[in-house]
Amino acid sequence: MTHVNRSGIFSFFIVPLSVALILFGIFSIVWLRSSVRTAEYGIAALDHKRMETLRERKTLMAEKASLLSIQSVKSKGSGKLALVFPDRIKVVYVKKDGKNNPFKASLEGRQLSGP
Amino acid sequence: MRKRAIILNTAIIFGFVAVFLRLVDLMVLNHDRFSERARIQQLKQEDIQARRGLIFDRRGRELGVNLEVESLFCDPPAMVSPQTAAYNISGVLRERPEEMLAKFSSKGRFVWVERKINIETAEKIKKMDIKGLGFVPDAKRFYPKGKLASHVIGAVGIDNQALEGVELKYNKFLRTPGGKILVTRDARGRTLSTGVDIESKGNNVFLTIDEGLQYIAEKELDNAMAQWRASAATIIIMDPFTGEILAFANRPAYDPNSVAYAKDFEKRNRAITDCYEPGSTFKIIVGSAAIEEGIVKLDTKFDCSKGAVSVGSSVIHDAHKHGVLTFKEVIQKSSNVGSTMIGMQLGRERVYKYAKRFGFGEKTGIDLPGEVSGWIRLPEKWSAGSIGAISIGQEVAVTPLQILRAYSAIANGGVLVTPHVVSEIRSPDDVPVYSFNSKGNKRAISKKTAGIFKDILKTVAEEGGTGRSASVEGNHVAGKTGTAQIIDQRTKRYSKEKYVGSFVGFVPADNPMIAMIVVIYEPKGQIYGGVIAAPVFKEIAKQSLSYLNVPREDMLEKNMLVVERR
Repeated sequence: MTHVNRSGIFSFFIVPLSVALILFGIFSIVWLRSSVRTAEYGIAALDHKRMETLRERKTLMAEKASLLSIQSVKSKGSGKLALVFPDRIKVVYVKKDGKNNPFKASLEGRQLSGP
Repeated sequence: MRKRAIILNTAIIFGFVAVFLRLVDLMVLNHDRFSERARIQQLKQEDIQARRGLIFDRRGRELGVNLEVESLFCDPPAMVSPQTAAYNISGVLRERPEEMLAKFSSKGRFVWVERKINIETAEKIKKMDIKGLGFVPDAKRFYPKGKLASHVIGAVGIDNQALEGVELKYNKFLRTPGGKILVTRDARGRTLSTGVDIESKGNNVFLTIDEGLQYIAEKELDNAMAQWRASAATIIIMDPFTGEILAFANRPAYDPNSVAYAKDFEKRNRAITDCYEPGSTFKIIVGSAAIEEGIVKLDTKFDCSKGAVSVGSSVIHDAHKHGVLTFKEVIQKSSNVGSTMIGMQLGRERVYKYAKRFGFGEKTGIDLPGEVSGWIRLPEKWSAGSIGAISIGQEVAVTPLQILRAYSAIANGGVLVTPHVVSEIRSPDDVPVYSFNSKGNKRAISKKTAGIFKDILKTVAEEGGTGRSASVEGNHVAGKTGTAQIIDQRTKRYSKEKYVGSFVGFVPADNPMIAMIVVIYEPKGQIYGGVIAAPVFKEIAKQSLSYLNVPREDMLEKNMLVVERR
């Protein structure tokens, strides 16, 4: 008949397992905290990048506003491109779906009827 | 052996006890003190960047924005070689090395070297790695359209403090308190994310101004200034039904991007701060009052054949003799004699009453700083000749905006609107926080009187009227010319050389889209409003109607070709 030593099994498996679990727990906590801190650094870097991008966006917005000012558009358009401001005496809006029939004439959209 | 073990055990126990006691000291006895020291080391206070709200025109086009810049400061005692630093920095900033050296040799621990440096320049200086220099993030107000609408938008100073215009009037909405925030940092000084935005934004202001109309007005204003070599000029365009100011320009003007270099006379918002005697444009008062009170009809005749009329001790003359004129012709031809006769029939009380009804002698309530109320004396203080003078627009002081508002009342059927330049204010999250409320509008005259007077004003821009050169092809114009003498400050009498010429009106006359006033101060060569201001009105009206897609009224009678807007 074989005698099983229960306390021997306990000390052989349970104690090392417990120690390993405790160590694992400690390292998990340390790892977690370290990851959180790394993430904080990462977010701070992204924040910094975001602020730089926003700063650039503001500059670009200001540049765009300057370039799109009517004065700027006119000076560029009227020179090289020979564009002029629309003159209501010269502008004619043609009905899109008018087929080939003659139109009734009006400059006032709401007064119009079809061909 | 046993003795050694006891010693070792004792040493270990003492060691642990010492560690334990130190821990008790750190964590219990002096916890607060050490925790405070750790907090000071780990936490850093940073400014929350306060950024003013943006300013847009009525179509959402940017008129006032912020640029991110940096401001350079120095800590003179910490500088190793101020001479070398001054030489290097002055090269980048394009300033004299002596000025830089003076700043680097100051006694304080914080001295501004240069404010609002652009990012590229700041980077160049940072690369030099000069000890004792530092940067602070800053914001610079930038007005992308330059001079355009500068008297409306206004300007801010070096510390972004409001100085003029909407920037000043709506400062409480535009500015935002910056505040402080604590950020965690490590041993190397690197900061960790706070999770909150370290920029605080003010509310965005939406103006009633239209950049397109403003450009048209300012362009023509510059042309008029050059043509007539005038000392100053003003143009205001307003929606006569709502009081929304669509364009608002004065000359001389300034560039708000360099307000520090602007002169006082350039910053003056003449349209609301300068009074002048309006001359014939003030005849609207006696004219509309006479209709409203029923003392004249359109064909009531006035004998103006003598070309002059005596009132008290003074004699009022017409520029040309007219003969017998109907009431309508008195206004159309701008007869001083006829207007004086109408004024005398009305009497001083009624003339004064209608002047007040049209808002003269009171502020219009426009939301811009510095508006003056103008001036009209109480009837009991009038001299015997005052009834004649006031009937033709003398002995009263008005602002161009007051005159425009009075004519807008004719255009809209008799209601005195409140002019305003801000339509709405929205938070950075696009939530409305303010919008203009027009509850205070009062009726000046009846709709019927306004309609009759509108028809009379139409004749001014027709053949035989003084404002013929204001007529626009395709649409009827209603308006009135004005020519007034300026008081010579030296002699205290009316100058024979200095005049103010003006034209005020609205178009299309029967369905007005815009009301406009053009005032030219001290023109050279010509003096009459019909000659100097009416053509400016015409040019601006023509271009504005195109810009606003307002159709011609004469397209049917001229059998014009088709067209449909889709």
